[in-house]
Amino acid sequence: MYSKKRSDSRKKVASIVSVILLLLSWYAGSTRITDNQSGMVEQLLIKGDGLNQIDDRLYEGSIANNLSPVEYIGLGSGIGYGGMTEVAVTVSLLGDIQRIAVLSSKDTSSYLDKVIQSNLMEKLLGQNIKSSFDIDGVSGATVSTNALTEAIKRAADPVSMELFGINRVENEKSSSHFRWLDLMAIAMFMMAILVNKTRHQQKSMFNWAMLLTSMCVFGFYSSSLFSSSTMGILISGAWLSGLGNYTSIILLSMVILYIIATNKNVYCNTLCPFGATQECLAKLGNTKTISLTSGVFEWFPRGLLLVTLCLGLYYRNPASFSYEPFGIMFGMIGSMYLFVLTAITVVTSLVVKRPWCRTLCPMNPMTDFIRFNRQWIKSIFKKR
Amino acid sequence: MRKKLLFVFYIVSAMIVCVHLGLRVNYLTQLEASNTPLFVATYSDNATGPQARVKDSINYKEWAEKYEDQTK
Repeated sequence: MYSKKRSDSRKKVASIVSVILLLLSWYAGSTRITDNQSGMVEQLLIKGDGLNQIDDRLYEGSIANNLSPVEYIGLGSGIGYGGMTEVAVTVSLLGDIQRIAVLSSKDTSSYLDKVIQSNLMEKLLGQNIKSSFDIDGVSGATVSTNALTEAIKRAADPVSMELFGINRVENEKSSSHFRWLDLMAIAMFMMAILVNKTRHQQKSMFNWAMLLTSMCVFGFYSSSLFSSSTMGILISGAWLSGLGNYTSIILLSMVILYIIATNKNVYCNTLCPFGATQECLAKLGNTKTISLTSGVFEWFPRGLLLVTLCLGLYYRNPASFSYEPFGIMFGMIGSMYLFVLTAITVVTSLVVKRPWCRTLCPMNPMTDFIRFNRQWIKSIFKKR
Repeated sequence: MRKKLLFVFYIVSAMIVCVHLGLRVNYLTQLEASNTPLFVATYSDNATGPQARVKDSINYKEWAEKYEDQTK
């Protein structure tokens, strides 16, 4: 009884401290942001040695003692997985693209790297801004490809307007971000609630059907399962300015709301694509359910998630601090370290049931945090 | 035995994740300090392929105009 009380008070302190740390990281991040864009743009001049700003999105480069411009630099942005990707394009007076630079990106770095390695930018160099840019998507990084091409088009637009009086982007119809995958996420979540509530004899089979569908659709097909970076995007409010893919945010929001409303987590056992992969591997091997009970093993993932979220808020780039093996598992995209992590998770899954879920998965700390605070707030209201 | 394996998995995973996050912080800090774009692609006059041919024809046109101006 005494031990339970002590544990509860420790959790209360940790809960308050973590909220304060998140707010402090957010504040520290806002004081850190400096307007260094014009300094970066100056480095993109080719013929000119001086830079004049015409408006927010257009600069002209000129040579000393010569008033007429020798080139133009346009700025544009596109919406990627984690937020805006900002691009600058240097264009000659004839309208040829001479230089393309990615100034900043809130996408997961490994996805952006994949797009850059596909030579997408090099293919556009030398093209005239009057012609239409036909760009093939990069398999596995479609959202990042779309963000980059959209940003390049938008960067070329003010130059096109200045040189030829053509405003192409405004004439193009903006496409809706709400896709069939978002509807599928909502439908699958509703079905997961039903599967968890039913007392049907075939409940286990329904559960397996849900897991396999989710693994195929949200895992291998779209890689849109949520992670610590999605949690960062949600709490930072980056989604308010637009995202290339809302599916993971929708899934996460529904999971959080359902835990708040019912104290139950239907995602891990019925919907998680990575959980499904581990379950499939468990079927192949001879596995047993094992848990590490010491307090250190419980508190370390909580600290890890808190640090990740704080870093995401401080750098205003939550997608950069994703540490799960999901990207490698479902798209072979990620750092070498995450590749090793995925490999050892796959091997361990053949012997121990769901090793990632029982150790470092950020879903457990998040669920614990919501459940504890829900209970705490409920007890405060009961006392009153 | 399985518990030991899970323990080893936990320790190794935690180390990998910490190194990964440390490298990310280091990369972002250095990037901010350098104040340079993430990536720059520049058109090269020596490039081969169809783009280079388009570029060459424009260069020729520019050169011809300049030549005409000079010889007037």
